Amino acid sequence: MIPALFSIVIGVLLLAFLTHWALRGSSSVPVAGSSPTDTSKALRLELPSADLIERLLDPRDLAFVRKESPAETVRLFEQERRALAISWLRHTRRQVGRLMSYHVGAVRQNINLRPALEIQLGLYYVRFLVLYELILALSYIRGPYQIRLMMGYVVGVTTQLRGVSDKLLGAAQFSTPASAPPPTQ
Amino acid sequence: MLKRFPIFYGYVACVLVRDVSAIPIYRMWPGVYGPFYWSTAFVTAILGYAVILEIYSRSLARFPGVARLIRIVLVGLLFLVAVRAFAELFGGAANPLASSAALLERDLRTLQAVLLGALLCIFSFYRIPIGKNLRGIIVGYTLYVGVRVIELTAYTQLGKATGIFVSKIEPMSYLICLVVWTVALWSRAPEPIADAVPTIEQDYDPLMRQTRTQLSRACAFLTRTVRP
Repeated sequence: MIPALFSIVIGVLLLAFLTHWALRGSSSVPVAGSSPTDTSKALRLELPSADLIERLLDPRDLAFVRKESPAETVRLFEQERRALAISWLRHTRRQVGRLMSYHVGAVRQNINLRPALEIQLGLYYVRFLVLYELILALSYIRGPYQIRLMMGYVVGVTTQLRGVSDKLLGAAQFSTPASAPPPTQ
Repeated sequence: MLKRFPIFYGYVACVLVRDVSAIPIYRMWPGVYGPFYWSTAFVTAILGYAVILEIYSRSLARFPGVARLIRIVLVGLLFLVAVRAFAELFGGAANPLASSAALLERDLRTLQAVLLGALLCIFSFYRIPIGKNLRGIIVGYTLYVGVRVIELTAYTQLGKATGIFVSKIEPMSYLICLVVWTVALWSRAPEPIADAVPTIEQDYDPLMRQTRTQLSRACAFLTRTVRP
């Protein structure tokens, strides 16, 4: 029974992948720009700071509002903070998506592409996406205050990705003749 | 078009010859029809691998790095399947490799489904531009393989009633697949234009070394963060 289930799952998944791929069309990746400014723009993750998110979702604010205000105000406060958290999540998702699009565009024609590293990066990206969807769903269901620990996790991921992008940015700028350092005398 | 996709047209010609010759065999020698059907199904399943190879080489001709990545993934998958097959063969399993033609074809088609799935994932991730002709071949063939895997599994393992019910889907999927191929291959479509090579190409190695280091650090950081 297990081999049968395995084969059926494979068949159904293949048809689902096919539908996704066929419907997606031939949308092209944003091609890496030739100027340092384009490269810089593409690789820089513009994210709000972790401190800001911490401040935004500080449970002391909620405690204060709960203590001092009527239920309607508390509800309004929670709604607003939830909207802000969701907006932040979506912004983060867009930024990371843009970074990955740039990476894909930059490496896909490269003969030196390292398969193992690419697979590692792909898995890492998938992990980020799964986490993002999970937190987004939880934000809708439970509200941002209940999932602060997980929010901190996302902040950690994006901070690290930002570090990666900065490294990429540094190397990319270095590789551009216009921005290369002058030869030492 | 024949010069462009010789293996695919060879595959279609084989299927056509098989189908056309199956009709008189079914009418005149019904006893021979079963062995004929399953043996030719096995041959076309083997030819299907050549079609996948053609899809691979045509789609990634301008992307040598991604082609190498896919080659490694495909070899890895084939290795896993070989290990499984040997384990069944020498492990005294009730069904060494596949005891019947239907099971053997199911296994071959399942592997094709896995290979096509891997190809589609990588096409999707790297957004490989595919021309209209090749896209049609991929859509039609993948649809056929997906439905065939489900049908063969139902036929061999889910009981006769389910098998008969599911087998009614195959002619429909085959017809859709033929329509897709006809529309997509009606005329020669131009190949998608290659993008300009990005400026960071020369520094791929140091970039990826840095990326790997950062990702390792990130993973360590994440593990620390989620720990209560």
